[in-house]
Amino acid sequence: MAFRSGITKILSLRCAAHHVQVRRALTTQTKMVEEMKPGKTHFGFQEIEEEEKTKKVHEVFETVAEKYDLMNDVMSMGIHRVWKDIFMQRLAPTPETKLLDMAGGTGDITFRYIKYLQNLPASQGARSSVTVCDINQAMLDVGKQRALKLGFTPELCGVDISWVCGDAEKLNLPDDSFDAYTIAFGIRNCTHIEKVLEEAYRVLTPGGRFLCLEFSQLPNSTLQWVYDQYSFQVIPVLGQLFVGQWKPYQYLVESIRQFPNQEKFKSMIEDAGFRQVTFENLTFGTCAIHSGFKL
Amino acid sequence: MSRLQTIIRSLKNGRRIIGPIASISVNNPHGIRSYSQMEVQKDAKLPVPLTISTQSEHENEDTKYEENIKNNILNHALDFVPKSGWSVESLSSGAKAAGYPTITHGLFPNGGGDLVHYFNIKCNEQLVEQMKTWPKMELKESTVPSQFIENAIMTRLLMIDPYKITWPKAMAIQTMPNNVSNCLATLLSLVDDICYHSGDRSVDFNWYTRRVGLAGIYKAAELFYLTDSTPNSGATRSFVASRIRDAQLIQAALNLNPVAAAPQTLTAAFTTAKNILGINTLK
Repeated sequence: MAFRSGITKILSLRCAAHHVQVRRALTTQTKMVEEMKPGKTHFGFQEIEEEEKTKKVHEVFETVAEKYDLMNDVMSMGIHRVWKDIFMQRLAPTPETKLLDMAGGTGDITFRYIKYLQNLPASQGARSSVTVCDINQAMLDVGKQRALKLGFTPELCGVDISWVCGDAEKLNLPDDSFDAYTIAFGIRNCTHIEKVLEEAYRVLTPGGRFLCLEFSQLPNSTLQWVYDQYSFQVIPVLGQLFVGQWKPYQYLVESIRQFPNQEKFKSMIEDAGFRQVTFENLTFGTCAIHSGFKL
Repeated sequence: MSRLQTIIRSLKNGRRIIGPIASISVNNPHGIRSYSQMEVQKDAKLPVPLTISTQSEHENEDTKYEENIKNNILNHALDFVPKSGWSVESLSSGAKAAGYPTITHGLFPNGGGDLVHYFNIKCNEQLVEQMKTWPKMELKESTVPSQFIENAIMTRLLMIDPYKITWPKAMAIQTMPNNVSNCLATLLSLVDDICYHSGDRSVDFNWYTRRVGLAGIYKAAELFYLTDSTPNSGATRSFVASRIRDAQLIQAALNLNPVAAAPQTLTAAFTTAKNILGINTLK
């Protein structure tokens, strides 16, 4: 019954979706942040007040928190797991690493980090830690429950986990206190990307590594076209079917288009003071891993 | 524009439809490989352009700063090689010893390969420094400064000595596809340095034959050295000496006309065959 009501909703919403699609086809290039008026920012393709964005993003994740992991699997056909695995392999954590997992609410990166450390040959005395930080308590709650279910308690897994609710732009954490800073599919939702990067630079210790996994743009226009079709025609539909929500998933695909491309984001990371900044494309550029060091 | 046209246009634009699922972007111009390039330039005494803009100077400074940090970590990492091998583990121990968190090993995406590469470059530099102090000999037509080359090869081989147990692994790492180019570059810069400092100023085809021949001798000697347990590596030294003698015979043969060269060519071939079969009883 719920399925059928979902279908009817989709049918009624098709007009709106079509409208978005047409606009998309005409503007193949992403609008850049520079075009914004002062005090304004993007929320998907909408232009809104800066203060509003935090609130709106908050709402989006509040509504999707419980089904977040399910939807990740559905939308990416499970590939997001591979991306996150590759991401953790690039970080290659070592014993006694202090990780800050920013925007890591449901713990996907944190659990991979713990598993990676568990697979290393045992080392004596070196204890690693991870701080999961997210702006949204609802997401953190999901993560905490999953950690309990998977048996990742500090006593059992040998890694200290702490859950902190905080804003990536104004971290309530001391300077030079982490060895690694990861942010997977989170930086896109922040209002001021430069501020997030500056904060990351501040909390990292010299030699520390910044690693970011984020949706990016495909350098090949044919594939980008295919990807656009999938994003705008299929993903909101899936959202409606599985979660009963259309809007958050429309926001999701729109925000991906607004995010700077690989090269632009790389120079933003360099501007924040990071050195040896490199990036690696995953699945033709659907995602990119950006890496930088505070040296 | 109709939908169909859009598709056709994007198909035209996007020729590279098939790409790797996960590809490593080569957007790191200041990577570790540039190091050997710079060294080669320095040694060849290329004229340095005098007008450098302030921006590129700034960039050079940045690159140098990063290189210094990397070399510092690699240098410390070498101390851990006898214990944990040419591995990421050594790199993170090295980073820790240099005062950085262990995670800084991510600076070296090739892991052990980068460590081996650094070691090769460092040894080559040391060898050049030493060779500069050795007495120079005039290279006459059709003679080979065999003593000089033998000394150079032996000096270079003995630098491996502290890491001899782990060196087979290092040689294996060097043959991995992503390390091959670095490995060849260091090998060629090594033989080029040896040839240059032994007095080779040839500009003809000999330039190539000498370097390729020397590279072959060096690599063969390296393999021999791994299993050599004689005191002071005496067996390796005589191995190198006889390989150089072979090379001399071949070069002499190439310089002569075919008929007159026949006996010497035959002798060389015969000696080589005996060496291969292991029935050379001269030594």
